[in-house]
Amino acid sequence: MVEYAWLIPVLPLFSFLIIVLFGRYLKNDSDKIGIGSLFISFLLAIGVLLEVINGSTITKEFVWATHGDIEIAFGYSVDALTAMMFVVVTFVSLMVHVYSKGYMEGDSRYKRFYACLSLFTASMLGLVIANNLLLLFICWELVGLCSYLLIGHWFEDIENVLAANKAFLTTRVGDIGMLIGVIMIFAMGKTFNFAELTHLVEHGEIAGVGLTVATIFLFVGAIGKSAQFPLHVWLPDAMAGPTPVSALIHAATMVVAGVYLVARMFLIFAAAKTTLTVVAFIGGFTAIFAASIALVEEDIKGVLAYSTISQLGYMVLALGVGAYTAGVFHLMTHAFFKALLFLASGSVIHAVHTQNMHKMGGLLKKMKVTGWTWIIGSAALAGVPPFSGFWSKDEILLGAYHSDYKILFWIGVIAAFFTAFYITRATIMTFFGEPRDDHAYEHAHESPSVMTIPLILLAILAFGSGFVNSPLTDMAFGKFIALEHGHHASPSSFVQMTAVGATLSGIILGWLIYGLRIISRKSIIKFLYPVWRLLKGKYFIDEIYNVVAIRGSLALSKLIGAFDKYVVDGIVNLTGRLGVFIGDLIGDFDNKVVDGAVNGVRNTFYVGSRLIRNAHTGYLQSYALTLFFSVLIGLIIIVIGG
Amino acid sequence: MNVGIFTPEIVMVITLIVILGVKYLAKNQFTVGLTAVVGLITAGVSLAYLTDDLGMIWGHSFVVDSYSIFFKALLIGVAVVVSVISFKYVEEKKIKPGEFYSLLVASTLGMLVMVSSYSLVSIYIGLELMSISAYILIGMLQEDKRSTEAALKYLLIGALTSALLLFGVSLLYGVTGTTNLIQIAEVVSSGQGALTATAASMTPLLMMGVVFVLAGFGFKVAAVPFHMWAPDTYEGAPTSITAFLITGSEAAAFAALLRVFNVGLSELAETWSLLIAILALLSMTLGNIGALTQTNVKRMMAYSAIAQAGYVLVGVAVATQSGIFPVLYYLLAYAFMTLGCFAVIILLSNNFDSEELDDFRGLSEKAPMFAAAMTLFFLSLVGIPPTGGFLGKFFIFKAAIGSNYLWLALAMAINSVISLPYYYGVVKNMYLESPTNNMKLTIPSELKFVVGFSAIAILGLGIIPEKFINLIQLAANFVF
Amino acid sequence: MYEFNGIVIFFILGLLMPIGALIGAYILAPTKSSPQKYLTYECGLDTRGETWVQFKICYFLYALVFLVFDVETIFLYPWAVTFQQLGTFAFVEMFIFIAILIIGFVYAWKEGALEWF
Repeated sequence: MVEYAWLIPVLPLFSFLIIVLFGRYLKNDSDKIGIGSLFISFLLAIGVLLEVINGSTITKEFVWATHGDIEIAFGYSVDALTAMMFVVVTFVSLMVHVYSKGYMEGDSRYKRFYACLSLFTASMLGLVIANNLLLLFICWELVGLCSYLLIGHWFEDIENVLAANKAFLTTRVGDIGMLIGVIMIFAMGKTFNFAELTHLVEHGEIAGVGLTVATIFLFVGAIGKSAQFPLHVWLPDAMAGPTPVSALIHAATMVVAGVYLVARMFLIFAAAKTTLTVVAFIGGFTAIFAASIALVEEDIKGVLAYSTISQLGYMVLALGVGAYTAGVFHLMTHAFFKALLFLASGSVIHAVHTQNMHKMGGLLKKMKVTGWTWIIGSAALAGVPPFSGFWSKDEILLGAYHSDYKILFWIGVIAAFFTAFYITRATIMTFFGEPRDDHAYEHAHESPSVMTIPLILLAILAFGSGFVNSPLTDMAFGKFIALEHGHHASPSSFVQMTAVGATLSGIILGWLIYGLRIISRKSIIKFLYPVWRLLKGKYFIDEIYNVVAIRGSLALSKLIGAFDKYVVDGIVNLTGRLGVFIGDLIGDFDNKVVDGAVNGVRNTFYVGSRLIRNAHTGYLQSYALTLFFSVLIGLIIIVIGG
Repeated sequence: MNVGIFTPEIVMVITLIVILGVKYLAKNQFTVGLTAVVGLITAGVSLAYLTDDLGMIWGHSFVVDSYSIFFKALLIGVAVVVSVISFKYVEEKKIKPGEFYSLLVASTLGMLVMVSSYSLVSIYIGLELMSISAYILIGMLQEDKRSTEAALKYLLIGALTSALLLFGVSLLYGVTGTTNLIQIAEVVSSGQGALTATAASMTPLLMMGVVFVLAGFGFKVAAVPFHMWAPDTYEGAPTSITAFLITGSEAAAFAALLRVFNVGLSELAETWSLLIAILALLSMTLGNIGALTQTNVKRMMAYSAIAQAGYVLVGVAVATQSGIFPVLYYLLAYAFMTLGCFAVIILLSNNFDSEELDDFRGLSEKAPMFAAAMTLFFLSLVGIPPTGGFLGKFFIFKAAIGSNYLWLALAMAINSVISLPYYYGVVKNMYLESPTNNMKLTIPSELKFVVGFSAIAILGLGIIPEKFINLIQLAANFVF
Repeated sequence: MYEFNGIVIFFILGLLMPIGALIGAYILAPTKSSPQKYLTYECGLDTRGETWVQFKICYFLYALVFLVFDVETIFLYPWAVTFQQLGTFAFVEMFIFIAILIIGFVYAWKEGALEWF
């Protein structure tokens, strides 16, 4: 089965091509192509995973270009990480595909949507299967392009276009950094191949400052794609896209690309200690920073968006502190429960036609399946044992606890507390209590089964996927995924207790404020008003960027304008005066001649342009055509006659 | 380096500059025209001091031989006549004299370079100087939309064909590794090219080069199917410039065409002569048929020019077998008859401000000498003895019969018959119709001079051809 | 005939490529039209006002004069580099060249090509 692994990314690509090329004959059957091809991919991915568990791997390569002694090869390889990613990506994407059938029904660009989804999935799978930086980078860019297309899917609304632009441009900033990193790595190692690079690094042939700088640049790419601080700004805006797209982007494809990159090159990163520290701190900061914003979000998708940033921060933190298994493990569990949460939120939005949580409430009664699956997802996100999130988050905190920087552990704990609080808040505001908007409530209804079945399937995984790396299964996942040098930190009951304590206190606090309303929300806001304002304004990052980027460029243009006005104009005027002066010297300047000449030329062109405007252009084109055909006929005569 | 070889060209450049100076200094427009004429005549006189042994410079790419001296004399003569008949016209039409005459000289300069060139590149440079000046000259009637349109069309199609020509040149260069005509001939006959080792493998690309170069020249001589611009342009251009294009530009293009095909590519004569024969047939037929229904005399003359170019092309097609003498003779005669015709047309244009066929009505009463001269020119154009046109046509006819292009000779004869009606229409208007108005014609003396001189030349070429024949034969021998 | 095979194939391919592309586009392209698609393309911005705008002829004249002297400079460089080998003749020649250009420049000046109206 593993030798057919290349089919996994190729099948969605085919589905994309078929929908694009023959979409107009397929009409709305495009979804079947997309879902069908992805389903086969998913089955293949399962098969590949099973074989990889039994120890088989595959690497294929072909030389693409040779330049001197440098060979640039394209190839793919399948190992444990790839196999796991295959399953996660294909499964989540399949769920999104199925779900979209209900969510996007009747959309005017239904085919286009499925085409983009397919390409998106294909490029993500290609990114995962690549065994070299170059192919990875190409797929990386494709992922960015697809996200642009999908976020801007409803491009009639200017907001969506702006969001798409923002996502594209912000990630481009990271991509440029990454490109520099790729080139630096290539310059040092003369290869793009991960295995060869790892080999070189391990033998110390790439080392020192060069390696540190290169890996930091590569990580900049990851910052952009995985929405880490300070390039996280695009992700909340990317909510503008259709909700299934958000699920795909935030759970399984786009954002995990950055984390995947670091995981894939983990041994290379690990050789540069400084880089790892940077990675760890950026991850940790992002985790707590984004979680704090999520505390006050009103938009249900906004909460999830900042939650995603925060959870990605966790993953990056895990990789940064060397807890490779933990990072990858969390990537997997997060993919399932975050996809579930997004799809569930989409189901809610579909029902009540608003994203504002203040207008929801009590929906559990109306939407049983959506509600309960959401609650399972929230529990996993919050890290309630024995839901999947508990196991992976615990692993990360354990890694941070054993690292050189204890502060990272405490940051993780506080972020876990925030996480539990905000997701409890969201859950209660949405599904419990009294309906706050009667109209929306009346209107609400459970979504069709094509949307709820993916929810149920995802919920099962959100609950159960954590067990693969629990003491119950003897840490099977860790053993499967671990690199040879990976070490597993010994479990610590202190870490476990702290984590569970943080989670539970978060949930309880949320319950007290929003569920039982024992603590008044208003008084807290009053008490912590400056903080609340800061969080509400999302630390004003966007505003700062606006000032720096937009005002900055405006100021620059003004500066250039002033230069133009005073310096250049001055020179021009001076020259002009000089010219007049010399002109006077040479002789009397005949104004009539000058006028006549200029008017004459002007008239000529006026008449000429009017002529072209009238019927005569047609003739000229046919003249030229006749001319060319004559030459052609001349050639034919020569060929026949000669 | 022998600078003396450039004497006529240098004189022309100086003339050009002096005209621009005179433009600002002289009070009278007439002075500007006169400067041009004096300069051109000086250049013409300087030709007498050029002898064959001056040879070549610039690595054999610029040459002075009898052939080039013949054409230079012809072209400078044309330019002088065009300047002279423009004196009144420029004033009437409010054309700016300084620019007009200097561009005329510049265009002539380009022609001189063309006919002296032994290299594809210098031919192209001459051609462009000639054409670019001509583009502006055509658009000189700023108030007249037709003139602007004509200029624009000529410019655009001209640019297009320039590209074709250059492409052809680049193909020839690519195959042979040289742009010099003599070296090209060597490479073609020996087969030792830059690109390939055998003559056979060279042929396809050479052939393509031939076709493209032919297209470029075909445009300049207004041969069908590259003629589409000609009626519009000839009609819209200032009348004297139309005469200049029909005689000068065409003669220069034919001179270069003959040189390129007979010196550089004579080995391939079998192929290109067929193509040129086809062009000739098409040009004669389409030109004559097109002329039949015209009411504007300039447009009629345009189609007539296309047909006449067809006759010349017959001569070119058979030149390798029968020599180029007929072509030179015909071009000489053709220059005189066309210039004569246009002198008469300009006379009418100056007086009536239009160029319709109806304007010729009753010309025999108003200006009997001009009517008689016009009839003579038309007889020559149709090819009726004892005119120069007859002999020219006769030589070409004979050459065609002598070669294996009998069918072309036949087509030529038939075409002479087709051309009769439209020439006759003008003659009928002049002699049998009564004048449409009683306006008295004012006839400038320079026009009288030009028309008289042309008429005498046409008759001379027809009645005492021996003197000319010897001279032209001398020039013709130099191509090989 | 035979030696032309290459060129014939070239021509046939040259013909087939655009025709194939057109037919392919005809078959594959969606034919949905919207008002936006009929807009004039102007760097992605909406067009404002008439598309037939008159440009000041002065730009053109400036450009022409500039071009002439641009080319002059290009000629001057190689001349200056090999100046010593070329001798007096080239020296005089270059002065003639520049003199002709100056005459052209004076002409353009007199005609008002450098005036901004």
